Amino acid sequence: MQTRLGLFLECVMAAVFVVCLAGCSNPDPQPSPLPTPVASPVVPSRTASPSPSPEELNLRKAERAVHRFWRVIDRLSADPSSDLTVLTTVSRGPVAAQWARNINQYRFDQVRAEGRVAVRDVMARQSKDDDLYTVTACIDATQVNLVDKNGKSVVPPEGPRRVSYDYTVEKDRKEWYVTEEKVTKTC
Amino acid sequence: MVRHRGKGDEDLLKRAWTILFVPVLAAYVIIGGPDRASAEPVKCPSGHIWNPQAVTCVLKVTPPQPETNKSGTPSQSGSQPSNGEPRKCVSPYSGKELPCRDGKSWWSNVRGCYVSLADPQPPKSDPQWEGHTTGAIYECYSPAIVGTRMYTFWSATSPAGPAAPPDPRVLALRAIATMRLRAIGIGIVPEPKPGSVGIVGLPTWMWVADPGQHTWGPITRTASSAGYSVTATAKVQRVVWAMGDGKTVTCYKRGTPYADSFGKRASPDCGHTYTRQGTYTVRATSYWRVTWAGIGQNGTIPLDFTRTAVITMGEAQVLIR
Repeated sequence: MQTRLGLFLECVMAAVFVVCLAGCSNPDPQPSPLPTPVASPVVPSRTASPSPSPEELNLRKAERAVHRFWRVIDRLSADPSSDLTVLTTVSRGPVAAQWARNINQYRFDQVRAEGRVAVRDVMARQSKDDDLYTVTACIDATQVNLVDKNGKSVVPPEGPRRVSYDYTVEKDRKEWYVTEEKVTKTC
Repeated sequence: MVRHRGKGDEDLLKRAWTILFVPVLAAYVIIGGPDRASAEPVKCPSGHIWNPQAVTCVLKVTPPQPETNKSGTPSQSGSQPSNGEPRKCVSPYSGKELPCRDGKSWWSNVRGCYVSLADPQPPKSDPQWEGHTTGAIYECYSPAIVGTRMYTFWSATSPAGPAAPPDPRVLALRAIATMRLRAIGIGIVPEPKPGSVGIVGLPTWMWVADPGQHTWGPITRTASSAGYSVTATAKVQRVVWAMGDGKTVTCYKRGTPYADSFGKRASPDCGHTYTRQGTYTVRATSYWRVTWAGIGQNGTIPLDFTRTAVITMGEAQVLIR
């Protein structure tokens, strides 16, 4: 016969597990259109938290540049009539040219993207050049689909949907651009 | 005190084990724990690049770098492809051959679109310039729907293509080559010849001994190729005289040739006074500014030429003796 205490403990453990599972399996179910800072509860504190250094701020901006880059690609890939020139607001050189070609290929093939890429595990570090940053990120395309005009997916069923990238992000005056991208491994 | 577990406690532990461990193990397998633990490299064949949206390798775009020849000047791009680009115009999307021209636009095999110079050019503050101040902004037009702009891009040189117009800067350099620009002939008193000695403390006069189109400008020439023309005009902006005593004199005029009638007067526009006797190597560097315009673009090219002369300065008392 089960005691009341036993039942109570079972319920607590089950609830803890469910919460944990939900949090672990779906960390970024619906990425927002633009990277937004996570709102944390306002807790009255006697000591003000130290403001981030300029170096730390730049690292965060470099990371945000990769988020912005993907939000733009998501948008352009989804809308066949959009002007790809907007790519030059988030990327430059070979990366801008590559994604213009990629998205043009979608348009020629009459396919478009649905869903959004989730940019996870983003970490920036400054390179030797003051204005260049290397940003590593896991690009999660599990929620993205390329569909033809009939809504049928054209994405191969096999193949990695989560891949790790090394991005070079350049700061030019006050703007940030992705200038190089290199896929490395699954993540 | 030692406590013994009763049967009820054992049941409770078994249930806790079942509730926690089994689902966690299942979740680890389902979510992809093993995948995360064994990341595999993602590689594409040469000339291809991974597209995470399409989950496949796609053709890699390699925008051409500005080509330079051994002399450091931009080499011909455009109608004379030198980078191994095929002479046919082929769509990378369909693999089919396309017309190489569409009105003012020309096909770029590298970019996979019809290219034309953006008209008007956006202001240099526009992000499309990518921070550059030279080169130009070009537009890409869809091969599928001709006349539909796909995107714009910056390029240092005119994008190459089997039917591309010549790079206007290359034509400008060709026009400059026909100008036969050269350094000025040095006019100076004391004269740079044996037996001619200037007097320390008296004014030295400098001037352009052979002013003309080729030494002072202005001179204008036009170069043409494949029906396109660029016109360049060159003119000297200033002559910098390094006097050999550590001083430099910058003259914006040609200078006034000295005549005996001027006596001990200083040059009205280009002169110097030595304070010590000796032999001095004088270097006159003329700085040119070449402005060019054509094929919808314009620009400037700086040039400079130098000539030297050796003069002698002596003390007046030494000369009298």
